[in-house]
Amino acid sequence: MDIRSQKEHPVILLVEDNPDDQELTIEAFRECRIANEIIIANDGEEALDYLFGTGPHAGRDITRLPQLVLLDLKLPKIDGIEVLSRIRSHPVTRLLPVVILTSSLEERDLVESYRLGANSYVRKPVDFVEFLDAARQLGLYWLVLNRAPTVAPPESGG
Amino acid sequence: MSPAGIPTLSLRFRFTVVLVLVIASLVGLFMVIGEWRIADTVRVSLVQQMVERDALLTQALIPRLRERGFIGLQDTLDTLRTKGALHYLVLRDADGAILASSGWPVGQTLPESNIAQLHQDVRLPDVVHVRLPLRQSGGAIGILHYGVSTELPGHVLLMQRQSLLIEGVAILLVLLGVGWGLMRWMLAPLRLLLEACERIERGEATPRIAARFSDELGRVIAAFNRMAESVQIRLSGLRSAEGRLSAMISEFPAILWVTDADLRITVVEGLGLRSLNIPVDRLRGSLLSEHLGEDPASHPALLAHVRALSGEQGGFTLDFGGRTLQCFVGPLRKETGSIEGVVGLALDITARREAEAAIRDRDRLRQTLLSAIPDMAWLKDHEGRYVLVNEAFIQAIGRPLEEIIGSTDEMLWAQANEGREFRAHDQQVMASRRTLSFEETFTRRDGSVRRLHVTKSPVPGENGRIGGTVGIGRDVTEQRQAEMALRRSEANLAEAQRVARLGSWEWDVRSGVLRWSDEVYRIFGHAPGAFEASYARFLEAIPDEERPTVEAAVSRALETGQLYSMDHRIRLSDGRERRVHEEGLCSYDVEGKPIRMFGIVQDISERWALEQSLLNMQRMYWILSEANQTVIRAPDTTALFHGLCRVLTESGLFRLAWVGRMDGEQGRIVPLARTGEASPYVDGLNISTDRDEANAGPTVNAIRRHEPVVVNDIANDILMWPWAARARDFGLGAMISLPLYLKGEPFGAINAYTQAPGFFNDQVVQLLRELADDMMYGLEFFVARDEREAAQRELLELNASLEQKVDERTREAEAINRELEAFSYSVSHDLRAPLRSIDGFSELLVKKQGERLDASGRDYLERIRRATQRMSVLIDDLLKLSRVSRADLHLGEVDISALASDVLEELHSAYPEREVTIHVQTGLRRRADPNLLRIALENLLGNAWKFTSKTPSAQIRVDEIEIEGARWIRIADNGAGFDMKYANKLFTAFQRLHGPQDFEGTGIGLATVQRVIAKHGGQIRVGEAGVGQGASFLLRLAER
Repeated sequence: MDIRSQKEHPVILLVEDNPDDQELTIEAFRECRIANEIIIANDGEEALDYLFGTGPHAGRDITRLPQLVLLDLKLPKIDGIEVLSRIRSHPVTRLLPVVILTSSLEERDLVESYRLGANSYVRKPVDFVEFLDAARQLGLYWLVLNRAPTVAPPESGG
Repeated sequence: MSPAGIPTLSLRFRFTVVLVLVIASLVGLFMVIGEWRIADTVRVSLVQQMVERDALLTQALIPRLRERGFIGLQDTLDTLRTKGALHYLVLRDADGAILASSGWPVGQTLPESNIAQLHQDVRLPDVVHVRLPLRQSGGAIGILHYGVSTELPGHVLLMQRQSLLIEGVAILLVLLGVGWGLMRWMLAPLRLLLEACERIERGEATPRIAARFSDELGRVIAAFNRMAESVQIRLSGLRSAEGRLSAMISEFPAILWVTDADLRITVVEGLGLRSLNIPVDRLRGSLLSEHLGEDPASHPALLAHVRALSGEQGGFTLDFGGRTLQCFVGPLRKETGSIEGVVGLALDITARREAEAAIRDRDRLRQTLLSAIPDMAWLKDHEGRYVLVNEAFIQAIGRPLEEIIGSTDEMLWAQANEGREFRAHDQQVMASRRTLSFEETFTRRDGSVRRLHVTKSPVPGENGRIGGTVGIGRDVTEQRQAEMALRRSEANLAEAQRVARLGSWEWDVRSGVLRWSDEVYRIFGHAPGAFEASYARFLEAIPDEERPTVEAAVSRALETGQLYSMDHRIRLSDGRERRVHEEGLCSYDVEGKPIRMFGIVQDISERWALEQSLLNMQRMYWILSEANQTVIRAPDTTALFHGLCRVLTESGLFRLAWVGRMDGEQGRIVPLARTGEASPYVDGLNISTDRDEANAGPTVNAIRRHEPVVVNDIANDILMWPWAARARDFGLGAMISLPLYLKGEPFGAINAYTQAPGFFNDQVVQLLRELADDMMYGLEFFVARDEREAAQRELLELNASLEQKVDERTREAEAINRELEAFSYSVSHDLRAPLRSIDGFSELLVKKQGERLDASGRDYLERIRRATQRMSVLIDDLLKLSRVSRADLHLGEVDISALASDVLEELHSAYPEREVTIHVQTGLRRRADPNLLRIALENLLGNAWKFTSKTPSAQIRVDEIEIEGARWIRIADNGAGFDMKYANKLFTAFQRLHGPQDFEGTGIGLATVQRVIAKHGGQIRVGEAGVGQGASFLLRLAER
């Protein structure tokens, strides 16, 4: 069905400040045979620059959205909660699937994330084997099973 | 004033009115006739003119028609109309067609002729319409219509009216002249009458009218003349009567006055005026109220006058001008009956008043005298009729006063022989002209027979004759009976007299011999008949200070004949004093000289003592009541002490009262308050508290003995010897010292002193004890109040500092909580990330470089990974513990059975390979926070699950047990258990009783459970445990 068109933009945006976690996540996706291109943002600012075509990403066609955003909460400069809030408040990215992938299991993080419209909240397990399992399931679910709406860019930012 | 207020010319006026009316109607009639005459003239002239005009018109028109036919006919008609002063002129032919017309509107119907009206109607038509046929040689050639005005020419009318006016004026003048003459003629006799009346009015003599008329008026005048004569006669009579009355009044032995309606005195006459010390000139013309003192408005005299003005007669008594006047007032009426003033009459009743007052005084005196006599007393006239009796007499015979006065003894007494006997005695007295005593017997109405000891004296009457008798009778029935009885026994006699404590005496004033009864001797402290009693001996027995009073009383009784009655003291030969009551009455000879005095003496010492003590008690109660008030009102102890002392001395019972405090340091009693006339006594006192009991004074003794100490004779009591002299100087005869205590500890004493020795009896002491109690009550109250206030102040300060501390602690706790939260949050995020790196890269190392490592290398990596896992679990558990600490408590009813089953179900599905026998008691409910309680149960049941993992036939049990009345929830297993000696370490974080090789764990679980239960205010403890024998934990939570 739309698999082909998805293959044309197989981008996952990973917002993660810890290089170890970046590495492990990429490794985990690779292990799970997820071939999508993974764009890495090291902090909230980079993530927003990428998504809205600002800063180093000026001129990028922002209608070309990533298929999935994996968002850590504790980030330098702009934290994950703020990033999520910006994504949800912008018309282009309003419906973009965002999965919170973080270490915390604090109640207030959970509540705040869901309140701001996170699509899912996954805690990064310490055990790498479990981590792999989690990554596989995420990929399978969000990249294969889940159907996102075809996001048409609006005429003007309304 | 005009007699009836009628205008004198009214008759003339009426007459004139009638005349004017008659003339006016005549003039009217004349005018109507004039109008009619004018109309008639017009009518005649009109008819005459018409005939002429018809002839003229006929003559003018017929030839015209004949000669010229119709040519120029119109002009001819116009000319004719103008000449004839016609309204219109119309010519018609014989057939009725109009040939020519002048002044008549074309087409309008011509009116019919109205000549007939000219003759018939009184009123003339404005225009006369004429229809004139034009004839010639027997044939009609046409008809001429014309209209002519009926108005006369102006000059004719004017002429007519002038003649009429002249006629009218002439007639009017004639009428006026005739009328004037008539009026004078008719009014002449009336004027005569009027003049006569005016003469009477002026008071001129002979108002008689010379009669010149023989008609009705003549008779009226004659009647008037007769009336005037009789008035003349009466008037002169009245004047002479007035003169006589005036003369009479001025000689009248009374006062007569008249006031006008304003109560101004217009007339005041009478001989009585001479006795007034107010000149008559001041009365005449003055207002009544000027003579009625300061408040005339409510003076009875003024009120009576005012009533008289409204027609009411009245009387009053007036003290005026130094005399007492009996006054009568009544209205003074005019002839018309209206009231124009007041007439009054006053009689001088001063003398009568004085006489009456004198009589009343004498009667009162006599009555008083009689009433004062306790015995029966009476006055009879020469015939033996009772004139005066006293109350005792009425009481004794039991008849009303009216029956007694005027009756004789024969009439009064039931037994005729008794009355005769009394009468015989009276006659004996009158004959002898001496005072005599008799024993009389009479029978009362109720049949009882009484014996009287009667003393009768003659009463001097007029002209040296005896006017009657006066008597005093004493009922001696009982006395006589007693005497009779006593006569039988001398011993009884003496005894009875002693019991009565009443002696009698008889004093022959002339000889000075005084006879005492035996009892009198005893009362005076002597053996009966020990000496010859005399007035001098009697006086000797009386203390010096009272003797003059007694002598004066006796002399007064002798002089006035009044009852001698008084209380006085007597001094006995052994120095003792007694108080006696004496009464005596003197009898006199005909010249009024005292003959002898008879009296009684009674020993009233005991009664008097009783009265005195009652009086004292009364004062004592007053003291207590005042003391209560003082205790209630006093603002502090100083006021309390001073107030109570003041109450004591103000009662008049005590010369001195003072309060002393025991000063332990100085070793003496320190005065705090003192009142009374002898208060300087306290200043020089030095009362040491160190003396032993034998030497201590009453104050120290009272304090030591815990009871009041009384010294009823300061001068002779050993207890007071150091102060006796000083006390005597201040006039202190007896004293009491009442100890005071404060909270059971001696405080001091209150002392009170009287002048009289022996004052303090049991009752007084008891009442003073109550006073002391009141005082202690007040004292304790003040001390307690001060202490309470101090305690309250302390409490307030403490409260303030406590609140401050709580605030500080709260702030500290809040800061710590905030830090803890921030810490937990960082831990949650940051502490796990490195672990994940270690674990992840270890795994990757094994995976990717595994073949380059030997077995021990891979083992190391495995160990690294296990350590990482443990660290991760540890962090999670710590976070959980911290969350429990921070969580808010949301209490609700929790079904613990269901919750436990749920947790166990989860454990079972996590470890499906385990075989565990589970027993959960149903219906366990507690009030708790469900989330926190779940954490607790997860830990406890998780532990049970874990530690039974190596036990075959594992069992986990959740139930309820009761220990010492409290209900506990028990969670028990039959797993590995532990040694009870470590039970107290269990709930500390990181404490483990098993190695990780045996059972996994962080040692935080039970600490978390403990935290949860503590947060609920509950309790957790180990029930039973033993190594290899399982363990049970007990939870206690609020049930509702």
